Amino acid sequence: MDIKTIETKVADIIEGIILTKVDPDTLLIDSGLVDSLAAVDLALAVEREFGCKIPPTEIDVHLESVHTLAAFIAENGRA
Amino acid sequence: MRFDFSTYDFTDLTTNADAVAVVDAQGAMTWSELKAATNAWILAAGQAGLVGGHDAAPLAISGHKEAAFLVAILGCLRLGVPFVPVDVINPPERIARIGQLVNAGLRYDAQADTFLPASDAPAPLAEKDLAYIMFTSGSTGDPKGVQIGRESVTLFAGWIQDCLNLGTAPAFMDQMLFSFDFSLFNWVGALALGGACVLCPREVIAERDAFIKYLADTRINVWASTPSFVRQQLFNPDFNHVHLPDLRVFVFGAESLTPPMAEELWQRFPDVRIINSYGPTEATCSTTWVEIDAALRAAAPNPFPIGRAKPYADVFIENGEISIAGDHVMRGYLNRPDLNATRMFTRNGKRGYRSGDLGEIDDQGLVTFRGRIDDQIKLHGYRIELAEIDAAIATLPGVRAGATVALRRPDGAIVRLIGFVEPAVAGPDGVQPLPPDLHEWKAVLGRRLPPYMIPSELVACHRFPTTSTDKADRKQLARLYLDARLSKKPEP
Repeated sequence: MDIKTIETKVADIIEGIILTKVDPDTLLIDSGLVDSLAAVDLALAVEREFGCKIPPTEIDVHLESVHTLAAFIAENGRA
Repeated sequence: MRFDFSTYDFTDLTTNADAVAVVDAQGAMTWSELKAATNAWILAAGQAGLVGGHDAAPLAISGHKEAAFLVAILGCLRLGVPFVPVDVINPPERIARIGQLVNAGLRYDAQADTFLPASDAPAPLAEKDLAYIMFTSGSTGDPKGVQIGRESVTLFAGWIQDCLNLGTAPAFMDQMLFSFDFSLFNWVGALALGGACVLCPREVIAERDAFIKYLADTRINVWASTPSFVRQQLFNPDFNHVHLPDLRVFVFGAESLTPPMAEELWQRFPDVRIINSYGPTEATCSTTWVEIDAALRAAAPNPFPIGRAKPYADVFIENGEISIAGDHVMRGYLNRPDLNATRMFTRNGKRGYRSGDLGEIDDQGLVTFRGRIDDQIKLHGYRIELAEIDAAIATLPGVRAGATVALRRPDGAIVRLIGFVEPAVAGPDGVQPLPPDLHEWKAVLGRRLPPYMIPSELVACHRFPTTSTDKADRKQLARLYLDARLSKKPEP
């Protein structure tokens, strides 16, 4: 799966969780759009869809934006 | 040693006096130290002008999860002074307002260990022999004070002692704010059973690994919290029975408990007991409870029922609304005869309260929660009247009216709060960006509302859609928002 496809899928998942569309660079945690509970939902959805666990200590880094999350999945998820 | 909630004094003085009674981020306090600290606090309070007894003016207590806060509560209970707990998560303006509303003589600042003047006109309350007054969100824009009598707290402690089988001297994880009545479960439970109350301030909780270590070191046995709070711990792979081998019981309340949540916990803690409970602040923390036993686990109704009435409580459904009677029901809202006239009633000589919660009761007496009648919501366990936020938004400059929407997913879960302003000047239809002079709105609302009541987004809508009763139509506002924000149009 190429990075653009992953970004589109990730953006869809996030939209389903926080009910607003996000751009690849929209700040998710810093903007308050993704709070700690939405982050749990998002991490679980990523695990389900892409088969990769986000290390708990790195949540803030990888959930910064659609872009950073897709990059993490491209590196760690099942293709 | 333990604290007796019928005499409101320490008892069994020579039993395990050197066992730990209270832990906070600074360290541990034994039972004999807790008793000495309470006596010292009573002396200091008297020197500061606090008067106990039948005509006592209430004392406001501010702080967070520090041992001094609990010491002050015990001091008040011993003196017969009604206490009014306020967490410092509340902005100073709201803390000051609450001091004025109760005509408190003083406020004890537990973080600075000092007594401060709290109102212009200290006065005893009309209701006598109150244990405490807790403030919950109020739909008029002012928080409303729930007055709980000493007899109600005695009953509550008795229920924990007699019905829950929590073992000898258990250690309770206590993360809930003292101003949130579910926190009573932890400190009343720990102190009534001669156990330990482990106070968990937010800076300890924020560091996931340190939090688990803190709980392991204090050998936590009982975990009472909202399902939301435990859900946040699922991020941590160490949140399991290997790292927390002493954890025996989860007690939930304030939000619906679902089978997937319970199964997730049993995966991590295979032998743990799970108890679900329910009760508005107006009925002293808990009114119904149920243990999720094998049969209930197998049946897996979503959500799980909130349980059956406690021994001294009378619970029934009237016109779909959960109604409660018993000596654990509040004496009334402070200075709100209008609300007391509509929300309270008498049944078989006992005080009664109409909860505003919708429910069903089965032939076994098991009650299931089915949502709210009004615009009250629970967000991350916090009880919020949307109208209180509306009122705060309406005070922003150039704004004619405010409305707040709890955005929900199809399964009903609340995602976040969206605030709407209706500008005083006309403009285009639909969801619009905020006028530039409102850019500081978060800071302005933060002076009046606690952080959990501040919407995560504020947008403008030049003409609020209205209901047949001429109120802002929150459902239509939510639809307008989703139309503007989702890439696919939502199902109608």
